[in-house]
Amino acid sequence: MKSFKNGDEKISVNELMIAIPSMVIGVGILSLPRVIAVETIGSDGWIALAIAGIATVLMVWLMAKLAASFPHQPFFSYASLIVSKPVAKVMTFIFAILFIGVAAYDIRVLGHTSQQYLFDHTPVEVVSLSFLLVVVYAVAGSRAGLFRLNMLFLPLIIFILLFVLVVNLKWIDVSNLLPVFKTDIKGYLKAVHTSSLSYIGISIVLFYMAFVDRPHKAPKAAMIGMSIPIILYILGYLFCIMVFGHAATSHLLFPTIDLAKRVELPGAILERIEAVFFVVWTMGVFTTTVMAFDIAILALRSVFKRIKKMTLVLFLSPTMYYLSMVPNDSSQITIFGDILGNITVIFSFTTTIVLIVIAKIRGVGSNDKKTK
Amino acid sequence: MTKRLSRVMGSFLVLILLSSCWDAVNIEERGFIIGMAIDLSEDGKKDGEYQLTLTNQFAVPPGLGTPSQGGSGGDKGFMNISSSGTSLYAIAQDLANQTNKMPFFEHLKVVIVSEEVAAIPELFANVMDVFIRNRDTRRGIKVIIAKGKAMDILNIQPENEQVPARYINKILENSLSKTGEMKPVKVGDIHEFLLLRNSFVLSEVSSDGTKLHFEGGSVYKGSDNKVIGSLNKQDMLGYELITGQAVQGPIVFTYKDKLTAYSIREANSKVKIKVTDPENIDIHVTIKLEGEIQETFGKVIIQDKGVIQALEKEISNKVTEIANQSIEKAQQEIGADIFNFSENLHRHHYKIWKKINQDWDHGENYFSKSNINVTVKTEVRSDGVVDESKNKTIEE
Repeated sequence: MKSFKNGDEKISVNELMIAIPSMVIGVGILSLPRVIAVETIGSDGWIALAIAGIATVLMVWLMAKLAASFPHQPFFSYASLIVSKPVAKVMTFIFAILFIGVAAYDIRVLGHTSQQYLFDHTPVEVVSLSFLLVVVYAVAGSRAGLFRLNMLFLPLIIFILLFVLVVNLKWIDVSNLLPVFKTDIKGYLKAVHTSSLSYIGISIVLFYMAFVDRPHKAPKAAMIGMSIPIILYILGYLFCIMVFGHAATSHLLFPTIDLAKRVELPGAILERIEAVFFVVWTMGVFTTTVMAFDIAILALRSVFKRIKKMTLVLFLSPTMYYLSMVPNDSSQITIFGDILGNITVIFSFTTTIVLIVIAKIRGVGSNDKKTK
Repeated sequence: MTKRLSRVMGSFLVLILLSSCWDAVNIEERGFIIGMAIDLSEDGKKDGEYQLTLTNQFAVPPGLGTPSQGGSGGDKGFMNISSSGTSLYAIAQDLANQTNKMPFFEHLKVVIVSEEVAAIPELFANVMDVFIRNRDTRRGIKVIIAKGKAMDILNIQPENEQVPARYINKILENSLSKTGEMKPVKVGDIHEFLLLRNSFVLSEVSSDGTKLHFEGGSVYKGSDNKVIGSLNKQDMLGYELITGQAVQGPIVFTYKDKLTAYSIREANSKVKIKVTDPENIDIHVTIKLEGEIQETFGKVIIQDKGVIQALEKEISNKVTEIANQSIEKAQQEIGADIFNFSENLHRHHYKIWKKINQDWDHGENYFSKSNINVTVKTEVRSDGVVDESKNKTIEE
């Protein structure tokens, strides 16, 4: 297949900044307020979200810094410089597998949730398959196209999310926020852990940095990008608590959908705002899945240099589809997501830190910085 | 050749995936359910399970012509269908088979539960589960209790509205501007109350065939899982004032032995709880009222010095009396914390709340033992557009 001719494979710093929130905002946003609320008391969950958020912002900064010290080099090549080729191969391979898992998980959750709320009779396999086909279409094209798609989608996603919050202002009860600071340390730790799972996907920075035209400006941009989902999540969480109260929030499967359903504006069209909400949510999941798929291809191709992109796409999509259909019911999907999230968070954090530390000790990469 | 073949295959795939929708239901085939009534069936209890009768009110669009067309020609705008069984969901499916339409719950506005159902332990919560759990039903559905048969409420024939459920919904929305009639409780609120095992008040209605009457409130006690008592309209007013709901409307009192009506424009309340140990709980309720004199049978000239203060004092006394009556009823007669003071404790005195949470309005019953004081601050803003509507000499 001919690649898109005008698609220039360089991306700007702003495009990287947009890619991060597009990647992070995904399937988790629907159930996030519940999983945080069950671990905490009153409105304390936002603290956990903020702590995990700050840690993630720091992590993003470190990743960007690490990748920026090897300008225009893909992950595999600078990882080989730091920790020898075989180790770098294993690392890249694990990243590829994790991102395949993320894409598979997203495909399944999208199918499952749409079936729950939108299509009663359509089998989840069909919903997921149709979604996967669109994803494949997007991945098969140029990478620059993906970034433009992010640029197009993200403002809309943010706008609709904020709109849902604003129209709920009528229903909020500020006193629902009380009591504050009553959660014990254990509760906070659990909630921080849960919230950190909702920020996965940031390791795209390690890979996409190679395409950024001005890498030295990227760390700051990446931090700004990362703070967008954090602010949205905290706002969304507080609104759920204020509208439904803590007890109901911790027992609603998808509090964010209920927030959209709660809207009752005069004029029948706005009574079904959840329809619009579902559209933007699907867009959010779409960008996440596409980027996860793309990173998987990128990582595999840097290890197996001879394989063509299209061959990989054709091989990976059935694999993902099969993986996504492994869990049988909603509880197994949750377990799948938890395991995947934990491994991804731990692996990407440790890899980054290990790489930075070894690079410092061996003094690799510092030369590149000076020549710049 | 292969290229052409793949194109043909691709087109077929697109055709199959994009041409139709599994879940398409034409709008004419949907049965819009706008009201539901839940009664205890006449069979009572069978095999240890309560038999319920569910009545669905479907909107029938041909009967809903616009008034100017006048073409509705005596058709009713609605259709009530009932069926009995044990599981509400099973009954609803059964009802779907009786009509030629797919039941559609997204436009459901009101659910009416008969007092019989509400008085059986656990049953009310079980009934509500369907509405909380189902993804089609909104959390904004209003829930009311019917005195007598709930089915009868859905059979009201209002004179100016074609669909009873819509009429009831409108009345519930407008009831905000009347005293003694309460804000309708919504499914979402009930979910919260049931989760926290709090007590709450649902409005109670009855019908006389053409109109809806407010009877007062039914008190649902969280720890007993059932409705255990009722409040009359006076108690309801006290309840609303204490809980700080947006009450508007008249309070009738006597000033110098003559009836005088004060209209509340704005009311709010503040609850402050002072607690050192569970045995000594002091609850201070401050109610603030703002309003105007609407009607007097005597002679009130507000410009006279001290009159406003005297009026305010009278009103405050009257309101304090009403509030204290409600409190006494809740504490002694019913024994349920309808004012949701436990939530206030939870929010402001978390440690104490944790200790007494299990014994609040049951068990040790700290609620009944606590001291509740009511302070009322009234402001009379104006007295209408005249200072005197009749000559004093006629009166005296």
